[in-house]
Order: sequence, then structure tokens, then C-alpha cells
Amino acid sequence: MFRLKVADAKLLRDMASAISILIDEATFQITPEGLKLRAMDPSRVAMVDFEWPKTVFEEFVCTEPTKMCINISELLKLLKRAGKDEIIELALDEKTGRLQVKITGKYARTFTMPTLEASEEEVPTPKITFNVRAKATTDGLRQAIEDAELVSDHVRIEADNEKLVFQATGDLMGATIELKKGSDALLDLEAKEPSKATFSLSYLTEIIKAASATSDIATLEFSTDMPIKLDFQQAREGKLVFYLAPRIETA
Amino acid sequence: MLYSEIADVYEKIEATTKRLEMTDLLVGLLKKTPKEIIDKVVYLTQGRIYPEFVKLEIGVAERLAIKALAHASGRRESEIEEDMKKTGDVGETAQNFIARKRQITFFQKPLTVQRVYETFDKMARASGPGAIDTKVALLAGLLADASPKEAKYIMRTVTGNLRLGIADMTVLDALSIAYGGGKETRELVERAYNISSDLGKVAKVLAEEGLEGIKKFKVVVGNPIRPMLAERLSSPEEILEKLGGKCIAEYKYDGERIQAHKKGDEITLFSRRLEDISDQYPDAIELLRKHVLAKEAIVEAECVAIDPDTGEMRPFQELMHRRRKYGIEKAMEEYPVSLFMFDALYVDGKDLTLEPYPVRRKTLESIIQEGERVKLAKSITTDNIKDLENFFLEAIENGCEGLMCKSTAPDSIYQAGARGWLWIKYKRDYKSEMTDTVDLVVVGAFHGRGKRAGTYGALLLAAYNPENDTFETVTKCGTGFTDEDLAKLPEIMKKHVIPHKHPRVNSLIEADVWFEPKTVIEVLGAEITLSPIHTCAMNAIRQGNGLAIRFPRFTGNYRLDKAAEDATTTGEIVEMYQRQLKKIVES
Repeated sequence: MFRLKVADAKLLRDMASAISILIDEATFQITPEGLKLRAMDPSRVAMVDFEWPKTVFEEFVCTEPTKMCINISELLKLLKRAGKDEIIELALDEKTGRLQVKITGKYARTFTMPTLEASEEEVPTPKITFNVRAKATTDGLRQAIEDAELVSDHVRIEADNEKLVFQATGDLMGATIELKKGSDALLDLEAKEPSKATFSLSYLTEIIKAASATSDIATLEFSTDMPIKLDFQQAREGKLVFYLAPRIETA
Repeated sequence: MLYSEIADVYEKIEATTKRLEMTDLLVGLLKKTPKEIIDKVVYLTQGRIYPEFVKLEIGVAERLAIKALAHASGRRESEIEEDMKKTGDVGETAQNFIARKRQITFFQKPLTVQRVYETFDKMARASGPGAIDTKVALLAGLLADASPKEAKYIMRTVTGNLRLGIADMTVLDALSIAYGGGKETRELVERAYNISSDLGKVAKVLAEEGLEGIKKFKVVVGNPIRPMLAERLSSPEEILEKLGGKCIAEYKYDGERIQAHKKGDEITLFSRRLEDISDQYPDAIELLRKHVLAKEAIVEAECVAIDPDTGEMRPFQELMHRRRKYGIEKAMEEYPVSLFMFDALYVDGKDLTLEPYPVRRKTLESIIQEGERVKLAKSITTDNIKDLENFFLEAIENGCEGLMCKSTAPDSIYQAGARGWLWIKYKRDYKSEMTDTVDLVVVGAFHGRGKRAGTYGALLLAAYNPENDTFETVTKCGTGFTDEDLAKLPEIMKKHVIPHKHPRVNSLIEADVWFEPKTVIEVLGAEITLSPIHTCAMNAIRQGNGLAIRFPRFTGNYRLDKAAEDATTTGEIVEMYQRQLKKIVES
């Protein structure tokens, strides 16, 4: 049994929205410590690692570890009904196996929605040695990605100790976006060695756009031709991390 | 079991043209397959995930499959489409692109048969507004983990292009060898298939329970029985001889053969090819609900389009208006159907498939309550060539294709899924199509019913025979009259009504109303046929038969300029018949 109360309806909604970028059916783990989800998109190109310790919640009751799978876009529809300062309470009705979504504020309403068969798949976190670590504003990243998107459907991210460069090459046009270390957008940059890797913009754009709603600062980590880790810093103790597998660009 | 094992066998099957080799490959695959998923493997080899009669299909359009491939390979859809132009095969293109993937994925896992099947199943069941996205995502997920070869067969399967050319019979052979103990057990296995139409179920029962399980196979309401088929002959002598001198001859209606499964109020209709066509015929279902008196039954009928005004049968083509997804309500009104019942295969717990035909027909008669639109197929039992021939001509003239002549012998069982000599089609070799209109004399009429109550339902029309100065009947026409025509007809004809047949009219048919032969109307028919009942040109073509016009339609022209003696002559009709007589080429 569990009952979770969230005071910040907007944050919960934005979080659900960020997760829904990659997956439809989301299997959450609820333990006495908090709420967790780690999942891959069906094509196994991207991964999301989300965690909200119980301290994030206004109220957190969980008697025993539970797995719950729900259709995240359906949940999102309900969450969108909540106003900014309203309180959302999630609870599992053990008799019916349905999730109760209670929104209270101006008035009270309770929705119920079905839970699905939980995925048994344990998704491990990728073990990668990253050579580059960059801390940037999510706004700066967004701008860079939107620039790149104008000319291509993928982008090469390169870094040395001076700058972080986004290089996009389309059939006709090209774009180079440079973020200098210490600039407004790029707060910090460390590179053990110059590195570069290419990523699909369709994933990258959606991830960055959705996650920026929850966070102002992101840490990027990558190595040459390896997956990239995007850690979106959360105001409270929560965690929202994405991994994205690279593309191989043959000459 | 890994999907790659199946893909390897597919590849070998594709490379062979020899059926025996194909069978051997299948035997190998079936033996290797764990018993609990053998049904799934059998469906997959057929490019399906369920038996044919289950309506669900994976149903992914090529465009969407390309989208999923673009996703999984990290390539642009335009690049893939370009390659498709070269290969012409979505499978081969998938193989190329998965082999040269741009997008790396996390934790690639080998595909199991279970996962592939379950994903296909999820794709088939996806519905609602997000269904397309769900299908694409699921397919992309499979492709992400697929080897190039696996990708080829996955793509072909989801787009309905697997086409390995493995016939049902080859699967039955392979099953008998792999699990039945040898090819000689094939007959038993085949019977199980013929009464269930479900290769997967047969495979599973055979693999898990052996031949004993197969022997226990029963007809089940809801599982279509593979239809019994007929041989064909074109002379009544040969037919009677083949059937032991006696047969039950039935009208062979020009409609769609349906197998109706009734379980209480729930009725499912299957086509001859075992597709569920219930949605096309809600009216037929309603009729069966009322007129089949058994609680549970499997019966066969011919579903025929009828003229909503006259109740006359219309040609088969008219039923095509019912092959639609939308607007079936309207089509039902414009193209109503009648049902002509001809067999009962199962009634209230009793499997009749091994009973002789006369017993089945009798059982059918006992559970069908006939009505305006549900009738037993018109039949005679005969041992006489002439009677058979006349019944045949009558059938043709009434809009049927010919006759179905059925054995009455003790061994005249329902041979599910087989074409045999227990049933023989008697169809025409020749037909004479009509290209010109004719002007015919109105000599009689029949009272209308239903919508046409109070006016005439059809007119009896005759051609003029100048030698004898008589009018010889050639057709009964109720089609082509507007509501206005119908309203006016009794008024127009009133002055010509006489209490009995006119002495100059030669008719074997009793009309409800007789007229003086005065009025001439223009008619167009589909063809001219030999007739046992019309007197036009009697004995001219064949002794004992006249000529008749099939599917006549009033063109709307009253030939007021013509006297009855100016009508088309019987001689002209004979000439038309002979000029247009052509051998029928079966398509």
C-alpha cells in the first residue's frame, strides 16, 4: 500500500511529461525510501533514471516495496487538470488494482485509472568512463539544440578544455554553435581529453525541452562515440538523468 | 527459442523450390520448437499470429514500417524509401539498413520467439487514437534488437509480405511426420484441421497429446469448418451416373456462400475463405436469429442479393455493395439479401459432418422455420434425366447459376475442406448474352406484395409468333418500373383486363390477371436461356423447351407507336439466342 502527496502539482506534471518523452508504460518502484523509475524507450536508444526521495513529498506512506505500471500519457492528462497550487495525492486501491489520483485545491476531485502489468525488466545504469564533464544552463542547451535542428536531424557534440561545440551538418546547410567556458550558458567545463560524439536530434531536443521545465542547470558527460549522460539538477533532492546512445557517422 | 532459429529456416525455405525439401525443413523446425509455443511458430510460418478466421491482423502499412526502421537504424525515411525503390522489398531494405545501423542501442538482447510473437500480438491489439504510434514504437523496439536477417522477416511479416509459400497441406505433412509418427497419419491430422480451420491448435494438440488428442477433435461452434467443395459436370446423364442414378438436386444460387455459427443469440458468419464477414450482413444475422430454431448450430447458406421491390434474385455482383466497412446500413436497404439454407453441420451438441446428406438435409429442415427471406434451397430428389434437365433450366431462368447435385448414398458425409464427387455442380457451358432491347407484349400480370401491394408485382411478357399469329410468353418482368409507373399501371391496363387467358396467348404460366395483347413495352435482359416453362419458340432449339429472358428490366419506354403484332417476334429471339451463344470461360 502507498499514498503519496505532492504539494507542487506543476513539478509532478513536468516530471511526468519528461518521462513520457521516452516511454508509454512506466513501471515505478515505490519503496519506503521514495519513488523511482529507470526505463528505456522501446528502441533502446535512450534511458531515463528518475528518483524522488520521500523528502520531496508532502506526505509519503509506503508499507512495503511495490511496483506499479501505468500509462504515463494518460496520467499526464489527469495531472494537467491540476492548478498550480493544488495538491495531488496518488494512492493505489488494492481491491481494484486501480490508481487513485486525487486533486484538491479550489475543489476536490478524484480520478481512478487502471494499472498495467509491471515490467520485470531490471534496467542497469550504463557503466561508462566519461572524459568530458560540462555544466550548462538548460536554457543555453536549448538554444544550441534549436539552432542545430534547423539544418540537420543529428548533431555532433565536441569538447576540449576551452569550449563545447555543437556541429550540425545537413544535406545543404550547416551550423556550428560554440559555448565558451565561463560564458553565461556554459558554467563549467572539464575535458580529460578532447572528445566528440554524434546524437540524434529527435531524442536530444525532446529530452532537453521537457527536462528544462524541471531544471535550470544540466550536467553533460560524454566520451568519444559513447553514450551521453544528461543530469538535470533538481531544486529538491530529486534526480532526473537521461542517457542517450550515440550514432555512428561513417564518412 | 530464439527467433533467429526461425529466421534461419525461413531463409532455407525461401531458397528451395522443392516441396519435399520444404517439408523436411519444416519438420526440423517443428521438432526443435518447444511444444508450448508450437502453435505460435505455426502461425508465424504462415505470416500470421492467429488462425485465418480471427479478425485481428498485425496490419502495419509499409509507410509506418519504414518509419519504425528509420527509428531503429538512425537513418532518414527518405534514404530508406530510396533503397526500397531498388529492392522493391521492405524486408530486404530492412536487412540492408539494420546491417548498417547508424544508431547505437543500449543492451542489445537476442530476440526470442516469445517476444516477437507477443510484440506482434500487442501491435495487432493496439487500438484507439495512439494506436499508430504504439505500433511504430513496438516495431522499432523489435528492429533495434534484430539481426539484419531477423529484421528482414519481421518487416515482411508485419506488412503482410512473408509469402514463404508454405501451403496448409505442407504444414500438415510436416506435423504428421514430426509428431504423428509418419506421413500415413496425415489423414487424421487433416480431418482435425478441416473441422477446426486452426493449424496452430492442431499442431499444439498433436505435439502435446499425440494422435489420441487429434482423434478427439470436435466440431466447435465458432471455429469455421473448411467448406466441402464440388466437382463439376455439364450433362445430367453424367451427373446421375456419377451419383449412382439418383440425387438431391438443389438450386445453385448466385450468391455468397456463408457458414453461420449460432451460439444462443450470438451469430458469426464466415465466408467460403473462412473470413469473418459478420459485419457485412447484420440483416442476415438477424434473419438467422429468428429462423434457426436450434440453440446451437452450424449451418450453411447461400446469401443472395434480392430486388427490394420485387423480391427477385439479383446477380452476385450486387453483393459487392456489401463489401464495405462504412455505410452498411444504407447498403442493407439498397441491397437486401435472402438466405437459402442448404446444409447443417452441427445442431445442439450433435456433430453431423459424418452423417449422410439426406440426414443432414432433414435435420436442417427440422430447425429452419422458413419465411419470406429465409428459405431452404429449392430442391428435388430425382433419378430422371429429363426432370433434372428441366429443373436446371428453371434454376437458370430464375437467376441461379445452375444446380448442385448431391449424393444420397450412405457415405455421403460432409467432406470438410475437400473437393469430391459427392457434390457435383451442374453449370452451363454456353450462354447467350443479350445486347439489344426487345419490344414485348404485356399479356398478364401478378399481384404485388409488400411495397407493391395494390399494384402489379411483375408483368408476364410475350413475343409475337407471326406464323401462328400467337403471343408466346418469354419472361416475367418486375424490374425497372418507377413508383410512378407502378401507380399508373393498373389504370393504364384496366381497359385491357379480361377474365381469362386470351385465346391468342400461349402460356404455361397461370397469371393473376390476364390482358388483351395490346400494350407493348421495351425490355432489356441479361441473356436468353432455354426454358422449361416459357412457350416462346417452343421446340425450336430443343425439344420440350422454349426460350426465356433472364434478368429482364423495363427500360421506361412504352411503345405506344407499336401494335402488338409489331412486337419482337419469336423468330427474332431465336436468332438473337443463336447469334450470341458463346462458351462460358470460367474465370
